[in-house]
Amino acid sequence: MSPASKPTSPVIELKNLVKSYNVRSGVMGKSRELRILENISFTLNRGEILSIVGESGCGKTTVGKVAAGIIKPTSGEILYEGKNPWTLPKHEFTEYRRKVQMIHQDPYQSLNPVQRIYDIISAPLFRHKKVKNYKEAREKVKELLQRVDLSPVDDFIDKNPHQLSGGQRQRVAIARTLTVDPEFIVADEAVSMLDISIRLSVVDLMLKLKEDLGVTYLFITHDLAIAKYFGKGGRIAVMYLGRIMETGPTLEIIHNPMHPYTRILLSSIPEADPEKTRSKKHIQLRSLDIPSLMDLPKGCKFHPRCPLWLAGKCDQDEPSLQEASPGHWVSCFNPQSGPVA
Amino acid sequence: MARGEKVLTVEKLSIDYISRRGPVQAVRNVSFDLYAGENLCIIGESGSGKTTMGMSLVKLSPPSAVIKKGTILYTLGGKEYDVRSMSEAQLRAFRWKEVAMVFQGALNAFNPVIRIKKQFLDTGWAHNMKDNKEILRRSEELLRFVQLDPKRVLNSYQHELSGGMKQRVLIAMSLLLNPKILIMDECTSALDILTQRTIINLLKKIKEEMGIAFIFVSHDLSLAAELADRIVTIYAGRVVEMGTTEDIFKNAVHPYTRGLIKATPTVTGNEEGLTSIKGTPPDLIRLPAGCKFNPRCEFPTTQCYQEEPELVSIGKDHYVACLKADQSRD
Ligand SMILES: Nc1ncnc2c1ncn2[C@@H]1O[C@H](COP(=O)(O)OP(=O)(O)OP(=O)(O)O)[C@@H](O)[C@H]1O
Ligand SMILES: Nc1ncnc2c1ncn2[C@@H]1O[C@H](COP(=O)(O)OP(=O)(O)OP(=O)(O)O)[C@@H](O)[C@H]1O
Ligand code: SF4
Ligand SMILES: [Mg+2]
Ligand SMILES: [Mg+2]
Repeated sequence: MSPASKPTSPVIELKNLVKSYNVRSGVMGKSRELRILENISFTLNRGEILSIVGESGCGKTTVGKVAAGIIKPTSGEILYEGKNPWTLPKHEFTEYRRKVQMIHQDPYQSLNPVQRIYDIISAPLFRHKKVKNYKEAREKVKELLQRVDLSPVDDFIDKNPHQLSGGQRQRVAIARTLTVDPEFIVADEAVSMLDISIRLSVVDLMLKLKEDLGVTYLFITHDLAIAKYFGKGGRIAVMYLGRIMETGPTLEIIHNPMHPYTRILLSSIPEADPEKTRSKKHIQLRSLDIPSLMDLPKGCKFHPRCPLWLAGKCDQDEPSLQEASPGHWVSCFNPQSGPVA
Repeated sequence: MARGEKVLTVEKLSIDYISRRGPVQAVRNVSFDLYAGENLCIIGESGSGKTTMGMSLVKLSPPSAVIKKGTILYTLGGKEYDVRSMSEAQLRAFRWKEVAMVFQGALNAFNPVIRIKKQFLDTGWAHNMKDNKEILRRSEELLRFVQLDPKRVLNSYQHELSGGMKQRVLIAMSLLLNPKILIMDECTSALDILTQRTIINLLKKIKEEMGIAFIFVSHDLSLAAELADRIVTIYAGRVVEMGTTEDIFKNAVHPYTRGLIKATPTVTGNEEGLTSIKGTPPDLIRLPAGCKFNPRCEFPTTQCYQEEPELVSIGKDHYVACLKADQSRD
């Protein structure tokens, strides 16, 4: 086990977290509260992986930004190593922001195109006083490029991002993240834009950092197959309209999904195996339309689409997360069990 | 599946883009056939030339693209269409009516200030459908077929529709003139799982009920596994392997095809044997000598650095371009 891992201490905790925005509808419409996240709770221990999956707009990025201290929750609590960062004195807050880093989806937009790789990676090194002079910086940058497998490093260090492929850019973004010795990385669709031929190698690199440096990950993706590969020993949380519908150990969620939404997602995914994918049984939705956040249904937010809804119950009351088996939580009045398809 | 008539022959097609650094060899000596009612998937990584090839099939390439050589010949309803020698007027009548296409990024191609209804009418008018009632009747029928509410959709502007709805509208529109072939380029990659599933099922239904042949361009192997009858793998603008879906997934021979399959995790499968392909995509302006895959190939021989392999038959309907094709089979 690597020195950095103290297996049971929580790195980050979110408790009953709510995020809402005030939005104005129409030109003279009045301001309304738009609730993006509702009652989100989870705990991540050192060296753990939590994957957040769900469809576009369900709130994955917002959860990531709250966890990384980029946006402040409306209510509820966030604790980093037991302390609420938003009540910390300024220098401690800065320290927290250093320990928590976010890798974004788009490797094309997140790197400044006119800087050299050396400039991109050395800037935070100087800013955080990790190096004293050019010579030290150069050495450290080379070491980091080596760590993310951009070798021979002398070929890369003086290039511009536009001279690199998408996979190489994402490696540079990861190397930049590592300059500040992060403990907790929020990877927001960090490999989704990458081509299949290079996607797996970046995922493997991120796993290696977990082994070598004991990094804790919040891994945001809409791709359940990648979530399963990356977070095999970790946990998954399935989100829908700002809520966690189901959460549990990764393989348990994949093999024994209990929430109708998780089951539909798994049954819908095409698989890179002709026999398997063609013999899959697809569970049908009641409706194809996702409700708008402006006009959420009463009761379970999934009931207008849920094939298993119980009339008179699911359209009246909202279920809450219940522990169905150790570590496996489901928010549903009619949970299922066993593998899908 | 019983094979239909041959409807398209592409032979030795090569396309360059003019660029300041030199010609970008986006499509190199590509040959394949398409049969009536089949789904042919073109797979390959980003930048391998899939879109360039797709656009040329209906002569919609951008001005900087130069077709250097090759044949694109359709045989539809007893008539032959040699796309490269057709005039603009002939092409306008041909596109949509014989071959329709939904291109990459087409979700943003709607005119934002006119209603969907008008866009259906425009498409009909452009193809000599004179009777507005008839165009609208057909549009409504097709919108219902793609599981949309025709009344609501026809009166909408594009921004009032979700990505999945827009994609279905585009598919409905592409069917307006009863084409025999549909070319679709990355038509589901921007969509969510559940929307993607709806589109996949819809494409299957179109193929089964309307007998339309598909050229389906994607970098996503799982879509090919689900939809394709045959699969073409391209690497650096060239066909490196072609075969039935079963052969490609079970008996792939080219190290690149094998690499792609090994690099794709599945939800139900196990992770054993999953490995990434090393190296990076080639620069299409300065291609390496010999086999273009040699910098990323696991076991290249000296010959691989000198000679570019031809696409050769290695079994019924199975073709591969690899100098070690004989040895790399299981
Ligand atoms: N600043 C904001 N003001 C108002 N609404 C916002 C704001 N930021 C996000 N939203 C809304 O909150 C919801 C959740 O957004 P978020 O970006 O977290 O979703 P996501 O799950 O990451 O989606 P995707 O998969 O598309 O990235 C969306 O409906 C979005 O439009
Ligand atoms: N208009 C253009 N001018 C010059 N080069 C171009 C042009 N369009 C594409 N290219 C280049 O041609 C090559 C093939 O591009 P193409 O778009 O056909 O690839 P693709 O396989 O469709 O990729 P993707 O999966 O990313 O859509 C790429 O190297 C690309 O940069
Ligand atoms: S609570 Fe009811 S509507 Fe909601 S997911 Fe469960 S069964 Fe479906
Ligand atoms: Mg997001
Ligand atoms: Mg393309």
